Amino acid sequence: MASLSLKNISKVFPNGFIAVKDFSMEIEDGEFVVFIGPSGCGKSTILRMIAGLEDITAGEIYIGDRLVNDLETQERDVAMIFQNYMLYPNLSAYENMAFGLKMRNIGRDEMDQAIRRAAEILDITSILDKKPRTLTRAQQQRVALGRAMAKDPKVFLLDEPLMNLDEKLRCQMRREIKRVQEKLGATVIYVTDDQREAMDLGTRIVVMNDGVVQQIGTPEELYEKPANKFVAGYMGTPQMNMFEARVEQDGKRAVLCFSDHRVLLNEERSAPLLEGGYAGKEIVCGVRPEDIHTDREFVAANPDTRVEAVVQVYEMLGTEVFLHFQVSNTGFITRTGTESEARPGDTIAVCLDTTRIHLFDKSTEITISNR
Amino acid sequence: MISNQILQSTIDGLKGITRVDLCVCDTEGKALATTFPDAEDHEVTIMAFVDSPADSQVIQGYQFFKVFDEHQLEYILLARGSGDDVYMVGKVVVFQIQSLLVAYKERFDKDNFIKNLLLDNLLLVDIYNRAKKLHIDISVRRVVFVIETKNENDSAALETVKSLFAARNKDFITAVDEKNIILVKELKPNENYEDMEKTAKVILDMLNTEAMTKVHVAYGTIVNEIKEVSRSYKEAKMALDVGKIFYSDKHVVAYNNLGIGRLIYQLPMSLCRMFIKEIFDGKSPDDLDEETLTTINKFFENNLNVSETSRQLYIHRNTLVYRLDKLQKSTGLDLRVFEDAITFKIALMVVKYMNYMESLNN
Repeated sequence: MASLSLKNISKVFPNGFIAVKDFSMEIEDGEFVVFIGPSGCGKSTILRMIAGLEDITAGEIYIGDRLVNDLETQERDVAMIFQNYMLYPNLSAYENMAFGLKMRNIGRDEMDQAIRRAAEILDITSILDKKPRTLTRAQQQRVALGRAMAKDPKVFLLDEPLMNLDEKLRCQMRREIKRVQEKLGATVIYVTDDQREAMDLGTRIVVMNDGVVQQIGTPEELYEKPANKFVAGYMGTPQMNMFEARVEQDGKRAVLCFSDHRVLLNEERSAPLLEGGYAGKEIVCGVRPEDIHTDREFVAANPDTRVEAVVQVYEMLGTEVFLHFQVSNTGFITRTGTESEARPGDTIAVCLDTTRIHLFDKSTEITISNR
Repeated sequence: MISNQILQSTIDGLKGITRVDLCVCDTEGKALATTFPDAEDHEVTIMAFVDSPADSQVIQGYQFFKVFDEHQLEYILLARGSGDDVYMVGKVVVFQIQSLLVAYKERFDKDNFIKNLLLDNLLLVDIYNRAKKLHIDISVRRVVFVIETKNENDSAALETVKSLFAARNKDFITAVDEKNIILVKELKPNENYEDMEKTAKVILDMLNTEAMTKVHVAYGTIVNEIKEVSRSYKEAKMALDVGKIFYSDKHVVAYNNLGIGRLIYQLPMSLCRMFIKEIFDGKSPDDLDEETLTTINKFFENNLNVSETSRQLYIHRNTLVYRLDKLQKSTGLDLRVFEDAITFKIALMVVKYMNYMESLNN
């Protein structure tokens, strides 16, 4: 396996479309890096540039210590699984795994060893002589994975490989990919638009939008300390609640004013706002659904952050409840326990956990609280 | 016509069943496939057997047989042993090889037929007659995919496509030039354009990952009769061209989804030149600096929204307004006005088209 170094990579298509803007990143040997972002954000283009399937407009890509900019895909020592994979219908699982190796003129013994080693790790040795139509969807997916593994690459490049699977199988294959990656110590670049998948698999996650990196970090960093409003809104289900507020100063503490509500922040949260000169200015605030409390004890203990709300939707999910409510004209959602007695139409008191509130500059949308 | 590997695997298989050693030679006595080592020793005997009127003969412990393809001598078969059983095995092998010749010829004929069909080299009456003779369904829905590979004669790509569609013997895979693989796909009654898009993406992803090659895939419209297959092919070729000019960020292009590029692609060059002269007054938008072009493209991408464009370009709103004013001064077109914006957008596309056509002529 190998490390990967991407230096000031850009991609502008001949029709003028800017897919990736000045992207740099160092990926360690054995890392599992997930690229995430909305459709068209440039994540797949980066993967395709690493693979050599897309020319680079500017920048340098190193796999290990080898500059691969001008190398063909076959020479880069990478293996790929893309979204629309298919097994060759007339070939057995073994022959499917051998197909790519034969094209690379790998010797018969070496090929056999590579296939059997991959099959053993994936636990598909017993189905190697079976044709794809007799295999289950999970077994087919494993064979596709084995096809890439048998190539014994330095880097695995996976572009939404689980996209076409149902939810149950997707979870199962996610665990399988993680297990295999850990066993092989493989360097994996994985592209997805599913943030749950990204959080589950990635040792580091790259969030992209409009061809620009928004933040690179561990799943925890992205969730707890989003660098900007986009990352805050993109990571987490349900999405973070966002609302605009005006900052006022009350001694050493800042007050967030929105509609006719006033939420007093503690000194620690107030400091970056007041020191940054935001007093008297509008900012964007973000609160995760689990950081809005409806239980009486919490509300009673935090009168400074209490607001009145009208419940609109009660969404029962078995182990938890999502309450959708309105504060003045802004919609909020909170995650609460099934013991909640609030029902649509009720006016309830809710409390924002201001120790976990996220604050963003209104024009740049960059974080104020997580600097 | 049949490859030596196929002949070898055939006689290997038959030897496995009958335990009779076999050898297939050409009419000059050269061994093409054999299951025993000293096949070359029979060259002189074979030459004599070729000249003899006999169809089969026992010489020096071997049964010799002639294998004909439509009365033309193609191969000589040797079967080790002189008994009745060996004679019977020899006849079976001769029959098998003759069947292979017929099958291969039919495949070759089909391939030729499809090539000529795509290139409009057949009269309408010939299309129906030959299709019938080759057992090709005349009235069935088909669509043509054109797969352009980066490298010429990319055998790995061809092999991958053939293996992907090997289970469907009603699909034809052929090539009419070095860079394009053509797939004529027969459709099931319920298959539609959404399925075609999926198929195109499977071809793309499999060629990227297995053959590890850069490709572009285009497909024409679905046709109902065999005589219309060439139309679907021409549409796919056009889609490939239009995609290259206007939608270079896309790897799959469908003829029925070419947008405004479809119209511009049909314009005569003289008309294009006149239009560009009118808009840019002899200058070319290629002369615009990169920063201006980036600004223009971003502005179009964001539906002429000044705030969103300036945010995405990380510039102040006034900087964007200044750049748009500057452009207005040099071209007379104010991109904030819808009519001017659409004129500019079309002009940019026309220039791209002209550049592409000129690059083909050079």
